[in-house]
Amino acid sequence: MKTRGNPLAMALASILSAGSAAAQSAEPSNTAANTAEENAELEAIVGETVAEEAEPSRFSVYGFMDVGLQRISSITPSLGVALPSEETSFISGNNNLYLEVRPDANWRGLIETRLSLLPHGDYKFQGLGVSERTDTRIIDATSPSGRNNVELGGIVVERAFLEWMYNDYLNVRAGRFFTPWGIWNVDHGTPTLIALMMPSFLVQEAIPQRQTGVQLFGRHNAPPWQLTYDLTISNGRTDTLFDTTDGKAIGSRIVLRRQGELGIAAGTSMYHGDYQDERKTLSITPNQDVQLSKETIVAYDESSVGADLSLDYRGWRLRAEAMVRKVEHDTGKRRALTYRPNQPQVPDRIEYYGYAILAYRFMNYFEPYTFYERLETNKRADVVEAGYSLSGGVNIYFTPAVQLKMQYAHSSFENFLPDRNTTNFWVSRLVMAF
Amino acid sequence: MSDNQPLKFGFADADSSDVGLMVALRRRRFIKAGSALLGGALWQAPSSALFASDEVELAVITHPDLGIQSLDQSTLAAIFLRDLRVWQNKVTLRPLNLPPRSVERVAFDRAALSLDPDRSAQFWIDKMIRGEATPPRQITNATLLRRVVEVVPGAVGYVPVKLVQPGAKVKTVAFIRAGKVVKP
Repeated sequence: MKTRGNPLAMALASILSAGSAAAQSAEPSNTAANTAEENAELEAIVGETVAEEAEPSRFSVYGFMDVGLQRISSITPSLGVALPSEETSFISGNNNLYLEVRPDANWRGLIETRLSLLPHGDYKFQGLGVSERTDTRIIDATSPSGRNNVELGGIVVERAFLEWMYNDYLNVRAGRFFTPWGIWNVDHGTPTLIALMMPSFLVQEAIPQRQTGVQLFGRHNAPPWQLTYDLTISNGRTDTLFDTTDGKAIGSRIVLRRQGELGIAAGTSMYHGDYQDERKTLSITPNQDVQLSKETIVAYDESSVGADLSLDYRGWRLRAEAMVRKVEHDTGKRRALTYRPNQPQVPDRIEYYGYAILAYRFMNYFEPYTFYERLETNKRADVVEAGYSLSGGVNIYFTPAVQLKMQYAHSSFENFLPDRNTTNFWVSRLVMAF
Repeated sequence: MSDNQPLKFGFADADSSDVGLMVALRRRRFIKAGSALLGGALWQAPSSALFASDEVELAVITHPDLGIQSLDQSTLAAIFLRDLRVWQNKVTLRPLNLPPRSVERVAFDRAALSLDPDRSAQFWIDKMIRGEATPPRQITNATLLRRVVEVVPGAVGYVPVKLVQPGAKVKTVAFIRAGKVVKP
C-alpha cells in the first residue's frame, strides 16, 4: 500500500497508539488477538509511511528571480555611447529555475536554467564600423489578430549535471558545472551574493565560469573544522560545444572552513588549460574539386591561481578574492585587434585581479557594505583593462527569501579608448528566492 | 507523475515560507531596539511561545543501529548542516527537522547550529542557490519524528524529552538544555 502525506500518517499513528494502549491494558482474548493482528498491520503501514517521510523528495523545483532599476553613466562621452543605456531604466534580470531530481539517495540531477529576454536588443561591434543590434521580434502568427509582435527570449543553461554521492570523501559530478573557483562563482545567485556587480575576473572571463566535464569533490570533517576539495577535468575554454584540442583542462580547489560564531573559509583555486579557435573553409581547388580545410587562428595555454578568504563574525561579513592568470600564445596564433593600429595582436601577458567586500548586518534587516576592486590585465583588448572600482551599497532583507539590493559604484579605468575612463553605476534589484 | 514521485515546489524545507515566525521575531527585535533607545520604556515581553525556546528540554535521538553513543555540538551541527553525510560505520545519515515555527526547532537551531530562525532560513536558501545541498527532511510533529527515527536506519532527530520513554526504540545521544548541547 502506498500512502503518503502527514495527515494520513498522523491518523495512522494515532490509531496505532490507541490500539497499542488498549492491547496493553486488556487481558488476552480472541478480541485482543484480533486487535493485535490489526495493530501489526497498522504498524507495517505506519512504518512504510514514516519511511517514505524520511526519503528526500524526488523532484524539486526552486530558484530565484530579480527585477531592478539602474542608471549607468560614463563621464567619457565615447564610452557612454558604448554602454547599453545611459538612461534610468527598469530591468527584468534573472529568472533562474532549478530542476532537481533524486531518483535514489545517492544520485542527483540538477538543471539550472535562466529564462531571459536576451538576446533582444544586444549591440555588437564587429571591429570598426557600424554596430549591429539583435532584434528578436517576430510576428505572432498564432495570435488571433495575426499581426502583433512578440519578442523571442532565450534560455541560458547555467548548469546541468548528474551527481553520484558515494560518501563524504568522494562525490562525482558529470556534465556542465560552475567552475569551483573562489567565492563569487560558487555563490553565483543574487540571493546569495552580497553585492550586485560581478567582479571583473568573471566579467572578463579570466576563468571560464562554467565547464563541461567531470568534477570530483568531497570533504573531511573534524568539527567545527572542515576541509573540502574539488578536482575538475573538462573541455576547458571553448567557443563551441566541443573541445577543439585533446588537451583537457584541469582545475582544483581546496578550502579549509570553520563553522560557528566565528566562521572562516580560506581557499585556493587553480586552473590550467589550452584554447584553440578554428576557422573552417569550403573552397574549390584549381582542379575544380570541392575542398574543406581547417585553420587554427588562435591558440594559447593559460594557467591561473587564486586565493580567497571569507570571515563571518556576528553581523560582519568579509569576502576577498585575488587571482593571477598567465596567457602564452602559440607562435603566430593570436587574435587581431583591428581597433589598435599600433598593437595589432593580443599579447602574451600576466593578468591580476582582486576585490574585497566588507558588510555589516544589523537589526537583521539592513546590510550596508563597501566593495573595492582592482585589476591589471596587461591585455589592451578589453573594455576594462586596468583600474579600480569603489562601491557602496545596502541590502534590505524583508524576509530571508526577499531582499532589496542597491549598489553605487565609481569606476576609473583604462581601455582601448585614448583617455582614462570614469563610469558611475547605480544599480538595484529586488530579489526573491522561491 | 506516479504516486511515489512527489513534486516539491520552492523552499518549503528551507523555512522561507515561515513568514509568521519571521514577522514575530522582527517585531520583537524592533521592540528591543525601541527599548534600547527609550530606556526600556517600550519593552514588552513577547507573547509567542516561540520565545520560550531556551526553556525547552530536548533529546537528540538516533536509530539504534547507527551505533552513536553521544554527539557533541560540533558533530551535531555538521550532521544537520549536511556537512557530515555518512557515519563511521558507513550508514547514510538522515537528519530530520521539526517545522520552523515550532519551539523545538527554534531551540535546536539556536543551541546546535548557532542559527536564529532568519539565519537558518537564509543558510538553506544559500545552499540551494549554490546547488550544494537541500535541507534536512522536515517532519510535521515530534511524535511522528520519533516514529521515523525508530524505523529508518540513519535517522537523527530531536524531540521533547518526555517523548522518549524508558525502553524506547531509539538511542538518546545528546540533550538540549538551557540553550546548550549536553551529552547524556
